Amino acid sequence: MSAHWIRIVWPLAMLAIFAATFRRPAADRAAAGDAVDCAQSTRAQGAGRLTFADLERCLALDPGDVETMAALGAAYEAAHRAGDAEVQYRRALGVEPHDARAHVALGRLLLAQRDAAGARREADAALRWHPGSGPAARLAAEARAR
Amino acid sequence: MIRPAATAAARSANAAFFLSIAAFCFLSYSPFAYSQFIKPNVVPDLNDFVVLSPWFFALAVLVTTLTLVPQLRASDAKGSAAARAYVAAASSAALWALWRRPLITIGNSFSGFVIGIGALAFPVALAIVDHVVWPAPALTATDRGRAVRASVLAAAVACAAYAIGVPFRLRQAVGIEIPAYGFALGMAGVFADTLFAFTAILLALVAVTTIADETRNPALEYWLFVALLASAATLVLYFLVCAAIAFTGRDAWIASAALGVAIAATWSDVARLRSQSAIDQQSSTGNQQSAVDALALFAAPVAGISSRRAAAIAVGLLPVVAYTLAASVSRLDWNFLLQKLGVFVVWLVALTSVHRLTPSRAADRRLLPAFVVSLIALALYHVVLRLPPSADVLLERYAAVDPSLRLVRDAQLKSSADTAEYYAYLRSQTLVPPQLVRTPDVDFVERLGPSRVRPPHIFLFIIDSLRRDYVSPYNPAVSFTPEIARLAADSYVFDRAFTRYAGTALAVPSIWAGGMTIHTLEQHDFERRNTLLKLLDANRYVRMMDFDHLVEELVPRDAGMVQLDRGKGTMDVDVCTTVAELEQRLGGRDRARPVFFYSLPQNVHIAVATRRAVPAGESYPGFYPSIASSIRRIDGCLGGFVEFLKSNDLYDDSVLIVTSDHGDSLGEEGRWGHAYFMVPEVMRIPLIVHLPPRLREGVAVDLAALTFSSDLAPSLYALLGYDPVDRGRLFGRPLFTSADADPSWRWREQFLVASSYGAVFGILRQNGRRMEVIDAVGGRDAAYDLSAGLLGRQVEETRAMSDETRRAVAQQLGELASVFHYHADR
Repeated sequence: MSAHWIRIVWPLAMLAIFAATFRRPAADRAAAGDAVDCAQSTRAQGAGRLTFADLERCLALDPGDVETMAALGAAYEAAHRAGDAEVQYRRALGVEPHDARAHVALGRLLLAQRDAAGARREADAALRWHPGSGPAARLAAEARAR
Repeated sequence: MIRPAATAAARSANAAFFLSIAAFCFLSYSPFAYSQFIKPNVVPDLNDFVVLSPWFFALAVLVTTLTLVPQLRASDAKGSAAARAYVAAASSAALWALWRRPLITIGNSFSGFVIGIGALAFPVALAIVDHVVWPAPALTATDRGRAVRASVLAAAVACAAYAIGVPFRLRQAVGIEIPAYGFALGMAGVFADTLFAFTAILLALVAVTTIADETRNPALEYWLFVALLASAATLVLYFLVCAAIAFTGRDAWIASAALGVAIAATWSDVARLRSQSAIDQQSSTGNQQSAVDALALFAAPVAGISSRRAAAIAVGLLPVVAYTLAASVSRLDWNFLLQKLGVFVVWLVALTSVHRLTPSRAADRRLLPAFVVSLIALALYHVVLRLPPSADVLLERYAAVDPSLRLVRDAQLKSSADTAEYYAYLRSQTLVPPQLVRTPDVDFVERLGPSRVRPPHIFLFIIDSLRRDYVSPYNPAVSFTPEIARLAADSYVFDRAFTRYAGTALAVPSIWAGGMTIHTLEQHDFERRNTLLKLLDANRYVRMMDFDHLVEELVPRDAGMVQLDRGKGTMDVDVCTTVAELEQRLGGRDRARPVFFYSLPQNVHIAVATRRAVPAGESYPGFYPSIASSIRRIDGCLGGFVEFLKSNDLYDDSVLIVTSDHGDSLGEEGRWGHAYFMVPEVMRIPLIVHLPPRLREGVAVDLAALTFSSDLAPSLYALLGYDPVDRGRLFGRPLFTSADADPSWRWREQFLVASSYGAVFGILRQNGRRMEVIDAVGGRDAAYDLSAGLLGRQVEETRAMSDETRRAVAQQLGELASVFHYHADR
């Protein structure tokens, strides 16, 4: 190519380079994790089919997943590990203080441990955020009857 | 040279008028812009302009005629025939406009497009007349060295013009924290980006000069600059403006090109007029000595030819212009569109003024300086482009307060191939042509008959743009809503209430339909899926309601209804006057029938509230004053209405709902109002529902569960004793259930949310503690932790979350398309 044509073409070529390199990729999505997949499988399979290890792994991946905490609490409770279950219910309430289901689950656990006052507190909290709830009303009635 | 200067000013004003006419016509022609801006009269000044436009037209013709008097008087004067033809044609058109007043009646029709194109013919024709009448100055080829120096200096000037305003803009913005080094980084980033842009312009100019070298004709160089301006304006108008208002395809290209040509023609017209002083100089000193550089002539509209004073003043005022342009439009902006257009204006002024101020060195036609500068600009730009993510986050924050950086950063985003394909899919599900949709019959109850429960009165206040954190039941720092607080104490306050749509256009239909709708702005056959209306009709409700521009397409006017605020436009609906009329109507109502009231008051809408002065003595630290003051007024009127209901023994027989169609941005990260962006302050809404005591018995309400305003319709079914069928996650479900109903699905389910206006979709999950957004308009994905603070905060999104969000959005959009028998033609 002659110098004459280079004179004419280079600004256009440089402009093409500018245009070609102008754009940047949209913010790279952060490194892959499988927190969502884990939570999804928790929901899909139901807590009963997952081991404690599965559920704990899910929680480690997404420490804020209240549903998994509740599932783990229920699994511990079924395995007669009341202390661990209570930890999970309280952890769930730490994230979602107004979760009436977690309040009721914790209240039931406390009632089984003969902590009627604690169960009443949980029932009242559940009714405050879920007025009219049958499970919460029944828990309140049973706790008061103790 | 008073006459050419005055004529140049007249031509600028004349062009501004015709460009405004054309812009209005094209907005009217775009179905989206017409339904969102023109029809509801969001900008009342626009209405005034339309009414006065025939008179402005006449004035424009009169002024133009005065500037052409010498040509009209002397038939042998140069350009006399062209001037006479122009004046005759323009006068006839002005008379026609005065007689027919076309802008008032064009509506959303093809005539808008035709009139828009026709309006642009006037500045182009006038430019041709002036080019015949006024002589061209003698030209020399562009001084390339001067152009290079001017480009670099202009980049610095433009960058500084915005940087000076950053501290002021930062004071008005909410939620932007930039450390000291962030400012330095931001300014460096802006300079690199601006230099890159200006160097690209320089390369285009240099390319023109090398092509023109072939002919050794400086005039060709000048005309190629003008053509370049027309092309650049066309591209900006199509890709920035038309894209923002969903105006695409052949007509949008034609409109953009016509506007681009008109802008370039006017520019050249003003350049010709402002260069007349050079011609005088040339005639007194000899052509060769004072011939004008072709690029200097192109820069003449802003900087003139003979004196540097105007250019110096322009550069000195540039920071003020940059700040004022952005500040004056930010509250009413549409996805930063006007602010971005302002950046182009500032850049053009900077480039032309600095070029005028840059000394010329005789016949510097070297290409090497341009080459070196372009290499440096390219290198700097790529250094900034490859900054680590932490620095990129700071640049993103800085862009929120520097429109020029926002312009470049938004434009430079590039999607990967799979993302681009996904975005294309989202676009195929957005603003769907109504003729491609088959409206389904949607019913919550089969064979709907009158309720066995005595129907209560229902009062539905949907306060447009009311944010939850501006209402005391949701934010204890609010002290200006005591009446709403009193109502809330006797009501159910839903803590996690959201709108399905980030804009009124689809949020209101979703409330009436009781669920999501296919993404279209024309709701054909809406009565077939208007579940709320079906409930009202089955129970012989008397509808006392406003007919805003949306509801008039959703709800038929019939003998059984009472229209409130008759004669008022959508943007004029004021809760206080509406309530006053409602109270009057309730006094004379048919007592055998229950009343349903609906209104969409605009008191808080940013286009209305910001026009209202805050009364003396009121102050709202921590809140946006004009919005807070408007809410205080609403609060008083709502309180008065509750008192009215109580004193008329209606309160305990009424369902009273206070909510909003969506929230609003009030300076968060530089955003104002609501457009395409799907952010926490727009998606979260207040939802307060008062029930009569008789309806509270036996119902359970999970106040902490995720709820939508689209749950209201099925909730009213449930309250009236029906058992509404569960139509799935795209539809509403009752907020009020039996005591043993399990509401846990609300806590587990993933819910689709969407923008009303563009391909922006999101998923709410974890009981509304997480919101993930896919923005195919801005080319960004985002994730929000909504449990943080009153509204939430943006958090990092993992690839797994993003993939899951994309999967969930596609799945639910597929379900929605299936409901509406829609198959995207892709």
